[in-house]
Amino acid sequence: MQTTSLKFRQLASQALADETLRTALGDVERIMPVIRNSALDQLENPEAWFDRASASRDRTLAELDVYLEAFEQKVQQLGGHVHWAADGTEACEIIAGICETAGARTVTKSKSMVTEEIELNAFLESRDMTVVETDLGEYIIQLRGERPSHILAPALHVTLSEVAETFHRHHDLERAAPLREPTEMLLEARAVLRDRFLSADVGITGANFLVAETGGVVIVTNEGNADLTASLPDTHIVVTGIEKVVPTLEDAGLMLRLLARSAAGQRLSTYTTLIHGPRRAEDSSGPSNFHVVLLDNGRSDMLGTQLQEMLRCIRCSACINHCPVYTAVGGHAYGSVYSGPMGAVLTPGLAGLHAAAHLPNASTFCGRCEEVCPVRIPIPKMLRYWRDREFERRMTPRSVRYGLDWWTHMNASPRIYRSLLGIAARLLRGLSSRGWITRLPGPGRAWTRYRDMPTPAGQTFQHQWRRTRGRAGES
Amino acid sequence: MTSRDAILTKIRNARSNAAAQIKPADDVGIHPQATPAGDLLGQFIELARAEVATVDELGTVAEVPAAVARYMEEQGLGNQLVLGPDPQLGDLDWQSIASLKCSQESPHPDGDTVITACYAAVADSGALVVVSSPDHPVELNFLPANHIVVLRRDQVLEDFERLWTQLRQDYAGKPWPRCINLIVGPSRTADLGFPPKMGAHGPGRVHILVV
Ligand code: SF4
Repeated sequence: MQTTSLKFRQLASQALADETLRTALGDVERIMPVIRNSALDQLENPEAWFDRASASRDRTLAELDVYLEAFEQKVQQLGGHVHWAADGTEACEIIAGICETAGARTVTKSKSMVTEEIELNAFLESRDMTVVETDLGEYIIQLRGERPSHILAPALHVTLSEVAETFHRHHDLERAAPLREPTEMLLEARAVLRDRFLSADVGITGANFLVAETGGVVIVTNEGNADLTASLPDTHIVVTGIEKVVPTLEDAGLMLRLLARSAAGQRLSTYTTLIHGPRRAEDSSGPSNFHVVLLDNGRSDMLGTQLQEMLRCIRCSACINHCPVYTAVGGHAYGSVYSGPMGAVLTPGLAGLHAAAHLPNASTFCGRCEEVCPVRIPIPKMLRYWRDREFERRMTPRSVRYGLDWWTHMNASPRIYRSLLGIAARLLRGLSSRGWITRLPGPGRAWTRYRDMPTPAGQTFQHQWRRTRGRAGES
Repeated sequence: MTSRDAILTKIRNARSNAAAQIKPADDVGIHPQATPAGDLLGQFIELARAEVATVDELGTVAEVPAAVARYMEEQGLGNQLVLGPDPQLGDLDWQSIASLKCSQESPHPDGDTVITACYAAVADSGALVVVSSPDHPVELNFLPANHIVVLRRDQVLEDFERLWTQLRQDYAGKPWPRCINLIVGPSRTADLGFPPKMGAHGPGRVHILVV
């Protein structure tokens, strides 16, 4: 998995200066919490559903091998094939092999973060196949040669006029009237992709869940593109992570209720599909070849560690939509296909801490991610885990390490700590005007460049406590 | 060692609990909410409409052809209707509606109006449930521009849990249907701004005839 996470600071600064991006992110920040909350309110006591969902995920992860083997067996009974891939390269090789056996020239795909993770498109293209993304957002960024900036809305950063311009450039529309309305753009994309659906040799989809009980693959979309991808070509390949298995249909139903609500404020997504194997002898249509590729790529290493709970994730994106850092800098700054709080935990897990070192620091530890997560993943705790590893491996910048050392010494001596703090409080008060500090000197400037700081009380808490304790005690 | 064995070994080494098996479903701890058992159909219709499906309540199934003709006329959908291979629908008296041209061909890729039956509906999410079979190829639900669905009043179930139970009974000893599709209103996308725009890759209209 390629990342540019080491450039987080630089990319984040660029993002902060990008006005159109800020508008799109502002919409996420404003709209998503409202529609999510009202959808969750439809469930009496959503917290109880979160408890059930996280318990179901924990139960599955504790016995993951059992459910994976059960799933595999069911798929085989239905006439499908299951492949296991230790890493991204192996998964790409397996998939390319299946495509080549099918004589594939054109491959349609519905949105799958796992295929982004393993960079499947580039791999298939290097084997002379044409790969067409069919989710509208993925299609737009594919044409633009960009990476997704949100796990559910990959083209979040692209404005409508940029979409129109992209279609003009790539669809041979040079002389046609400009596309103005979103509905015109939708019709244009629908018409172009219709032909692709009908002519594809292989369809590749992800999976939201794998049901061990039945061997079913659950795929959720609002556009219907996954169903056309999965049912029209003669070969269907499902690519997904090993953690996506759930024991029974009841577990799937539980997750589906929370996924649609947390992701997009829907009771249920428009299309929820459960696929069981290839076409049957009596069927007139449907793929004759059905393959499931189960990807590990670092996931099994997280089992049995402090990161295991991250494997509960159902990719709903609630933590992303509610994150003050994500909604300020957007997805590209994270430099990984997984962005936001979940990406900051997952990326070092999958790509290695060396490739993602800044991400665990891209957090204010406000805790909203954990609050909104429908499977109760303690994201801040995991970010802290990564920061500890980073410190241990001396990857933390020297200034921060020295700063922390200095802080520790100072804390060890209450008298020095108190007197320094008293001086700082008075100094800060002197810098303020009308209750706010807008410019700090020295390293503090980095803080006040983007935000103001409220004026501190001018006296330390301990100072005030000493003055008022007597009075409070009397009353 | 194959990757399969390597992955499974890693998982087994990581877990503490040795003996395990797939637990029966009732152990999952799902206690569906007490859905107001009374008016399931009413609840379904309300939610389906909220998700931009349209609903027409009829008397008997014999009224379907006339209702289809009326709907297509109102919406300006022309007179071509794809019936699909389902004999339940094919056997209705389509001849009596002179204005409709019915065919059993699979839908034209550029969009048609298709009518199908369904397996069930789920009241608490406004979802139609369609299962694939030789009588009902799955692409009938996704290729057309307009999808008309005939739903019997007695097919409405409270929630997912009742649906799973019914599927387990109906397919006991048989393979599961190849595709089970839950469909909530027309196809849509959120990739061109908020609110979502209707009519992405699947049908832009979903019309439910309740009989
Ligand atoms: S971590 Fe939780 S909130 Fe974030 S995407 Fe995963 S399940 Fe959703």
